[in-house]
Amino acid sequence: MNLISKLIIILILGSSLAAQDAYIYGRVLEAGSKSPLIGANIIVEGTTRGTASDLDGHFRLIVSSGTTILTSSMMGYQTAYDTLLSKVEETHQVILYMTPITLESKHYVMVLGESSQDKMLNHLQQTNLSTTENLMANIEGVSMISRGSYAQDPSIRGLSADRMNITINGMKSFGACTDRMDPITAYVEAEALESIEVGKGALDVASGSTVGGNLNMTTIQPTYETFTSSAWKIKGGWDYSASERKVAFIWDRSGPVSAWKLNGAYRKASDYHAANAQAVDFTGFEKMNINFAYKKRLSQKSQFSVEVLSDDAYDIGYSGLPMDVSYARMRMLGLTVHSTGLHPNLLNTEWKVYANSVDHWMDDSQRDQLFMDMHMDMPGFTRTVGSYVDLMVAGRSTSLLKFRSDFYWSSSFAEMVMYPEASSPMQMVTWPGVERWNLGHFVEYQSRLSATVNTKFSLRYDVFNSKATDKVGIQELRIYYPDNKLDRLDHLVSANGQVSFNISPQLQSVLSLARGSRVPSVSEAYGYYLYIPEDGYLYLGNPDLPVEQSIQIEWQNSWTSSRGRVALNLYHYDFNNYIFSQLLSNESLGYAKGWKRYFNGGDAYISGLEISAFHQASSHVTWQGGMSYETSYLQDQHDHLPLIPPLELHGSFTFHKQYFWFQAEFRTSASQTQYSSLSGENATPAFYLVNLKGEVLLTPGINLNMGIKNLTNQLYYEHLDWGDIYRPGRSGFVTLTIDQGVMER
Amino acid sequence: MKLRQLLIALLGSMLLILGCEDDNTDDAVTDDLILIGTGEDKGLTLDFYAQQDLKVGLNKLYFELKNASESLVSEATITQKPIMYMESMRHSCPVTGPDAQANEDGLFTSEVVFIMASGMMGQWDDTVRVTNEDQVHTFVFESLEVRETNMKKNLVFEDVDSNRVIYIVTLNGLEDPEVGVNDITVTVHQKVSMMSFPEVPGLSITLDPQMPDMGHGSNGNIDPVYTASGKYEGAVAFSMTGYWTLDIGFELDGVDLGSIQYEFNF
Repeated sequence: MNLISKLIIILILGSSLAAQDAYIYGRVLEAGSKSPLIGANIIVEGTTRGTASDLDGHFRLIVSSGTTILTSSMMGYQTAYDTLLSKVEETHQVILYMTPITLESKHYVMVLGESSQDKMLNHLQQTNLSTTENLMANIEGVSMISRGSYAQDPSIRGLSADRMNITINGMKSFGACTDRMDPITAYVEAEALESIEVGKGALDVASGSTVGGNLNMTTIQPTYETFTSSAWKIKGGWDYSASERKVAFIWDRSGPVSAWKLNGAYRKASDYHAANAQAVDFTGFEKMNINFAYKKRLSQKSQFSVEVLSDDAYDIGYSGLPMDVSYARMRMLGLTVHSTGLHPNLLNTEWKVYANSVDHWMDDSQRDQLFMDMHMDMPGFTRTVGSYVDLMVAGRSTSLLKFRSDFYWSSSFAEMVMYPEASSPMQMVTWPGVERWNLGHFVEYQSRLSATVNTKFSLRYDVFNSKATDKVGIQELRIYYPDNKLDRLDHLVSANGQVSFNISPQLQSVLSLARGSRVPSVSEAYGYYLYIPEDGYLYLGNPDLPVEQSIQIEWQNSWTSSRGRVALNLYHYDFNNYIFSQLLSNESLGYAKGWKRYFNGGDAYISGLEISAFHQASSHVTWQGGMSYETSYLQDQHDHLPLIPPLELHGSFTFHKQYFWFQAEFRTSASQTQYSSLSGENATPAFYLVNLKGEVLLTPGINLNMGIKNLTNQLYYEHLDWGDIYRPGRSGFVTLTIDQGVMER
Repeated sequence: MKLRQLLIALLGSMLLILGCEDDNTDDAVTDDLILIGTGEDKGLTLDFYAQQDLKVGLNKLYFELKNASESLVSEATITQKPIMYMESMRHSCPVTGPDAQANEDGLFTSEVVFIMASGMMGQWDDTVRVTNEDQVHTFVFESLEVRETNMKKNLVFEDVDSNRVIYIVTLNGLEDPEVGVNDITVTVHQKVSMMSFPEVPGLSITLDPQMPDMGHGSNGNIDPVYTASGKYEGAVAFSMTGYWTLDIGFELDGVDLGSIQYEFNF
């Protein structure tokens, strides 16, 4: 901190200064999400000196030199302490992490924590060429479904697609591809990603009804600074196996009243090589991503922010499918007003309104082997508009109440056109302009019953209306459903409860019970002629599908010490009305083996366990590991559930010292023999992987990142990958980052 | 006194006006129909209407008969004989009705299956004979325009006695095919002679739509079932646009008579 800043702080604080004072420049953040806590009371213990954290969690204090104990307290959080030893005239930067007094069922991953002081999560720092997907795959219970090398679709405990909600900063968006080639996780590049919040199962229904859980990606926000300043960062990288080049930049401007941040990334990759040195065809892609955020204080307690996300991708190869994406475009806009402490009991209010559109064009113009020797186009379009209001109310000092009302409207249209040489184009509508709106109300009550027992209960009520609007699409569906209105109204009630026992300061045990449900997806209810390559069948939607429901029980245990943490989770989910597929005919239809229809598969269950461990062996060395295993069964069909990951084990060793960081990672997956034969799956062989990564700080502000992935050159693919396409073989990467902001300091 | 007279006068004139409307036609019904021609013979006027422009295939025709005093005649014996005059011969086509009784709209309904288009090959005339109150009236409608639809095909086969049999088949309802379910009517009449085309009931008809480029058919088809007067009603479902062939198969008492094929490109 420069001299001018110190002077201004002295002037601001205005208190009389003794020559033996030291300065504290700090920030209060929430322990899990790392979001700034506003209005926390920070007191210098033993004095009357104190202050409150601002809209960005920042605070400034002048303290006497020597030992200082800071306490930070805030409604709904456990009091945090920090002890510092300071010399005269010294400046300290302090970060105080506050843990909510009650339960959080979320699992957080802090990514690219360059300035993260929390060593516990530093071990997850990946290379700067990491994709958002790589980072997600490291969370126990989260697996990525690969349909090519460009975008992977997350699944939580084997549940994916419409069984879970995926949001970007709380905003919902829906893919425009009937084959799910465009999960919205592709729209946040690693440079812009701040954290990934994963809520597993129906325990977390704040943002939507679900049976599988929620995944929210938060982007790095601009920060207020006392003095207006501007900084930039550029990054360039190259990955050998796919000749992938990446260029990214971040540019921000921060001031006391407003701030903005602009992120841009460009990536271009060619086909990658698997371990057998064979190029895996159709795995290249090119994309450009822009993310802009601006915020401005409206008053002491309120701020307004705008965010814009834009993503354009070209020539994306999809090796697992007979076609590629020639162009995919996403535009997203969000406006938020956030207030804190409008009323003594009203801790937080947030109101957000957003809109996004996805346009996606698939075609096979790059392919030599055409489907049925005919060119095929498959465009798809979605539009979404939504809004939510969040309120956080404090009851007594030991309870917290959250309210939320949210709404969204979305439309989805997709069609398929084939061009035979001598006759008219064959056109059919595959998503018949389905319009869906959802209105939801949510309430959560958290309470600390005693020093050792915390409880949380939540309730959510949803109304969904879905209808087909495209004339040709409706005519097509009427072939199979002549009298169906193709317009449905669903009411859903979700409820859950959690009790946590702090058996000792180190041992915590949490028992949860949840009931969740979800409406059928656009494809499941109104899809027409959807070709699923995994089993080679054409799928037909079923507008009469009942709502899928699940009762879930989970037991989480964790043991924490100053050196680390071990956690063990056991869970069992029971489903009824599990949406599955039913064979209609095995009569070959040209390229397809026959017809299937989505139908009520009846009762199903999944049962599993997750273990994670973290140990800080020394100030330089950390060990981290985890294991997950799940078993599943679909009773009435006498089959396993599809897309369930096999037993997986991973571990990493990280060494960190001053200017150097190194990580060795090991991962193994057992073979998956519990597959869904009715869905056309087959057994997947076991494999293991070794990855090495290193980072060197050449000078302050200039980093070099290097690594080798798949060190032993294994030829492998994962069970969740479509078409059993091999993943990359041994490959190296290098990235250079220049951070002007750090350089200036 | 004056008021009462006024009221009576009003009431009376109202009744008069309303009364006069009794025998008049409901013009709204004929508004939706196409007037093919009008004829007049010995005090009787015949308006000849069709549901749509005359075409090769099944046509619904209507006759409106009015006497000299412009009132509708609702009972009469009407016969019609459409004849196509070609260069070296002439022939008729299947005709049904009309009945001796007009329908509730005062129209005599009939159906004619035109089996060829008018034009270079010849022209169609329809001679209509109306017998009403023991008087026979003749109306001739000349040079009717019958447009080509390519929906008429011949099914030719040999019967048990090795005689050559010709069935005239027309497909109605697919002039403008759409994706989804299309209601169709298939007409089947036997060409016994140039002038005689009796209906053929009792057939088993199957539908087989196919997309040759894709190698698949479609679901949701309803095999046509006999209703009356040579008509079989069913439905063809097209799952997408493009090039389709439709094979219609005919069976009588378990004997396969053959099939005919139609093509669609939409």
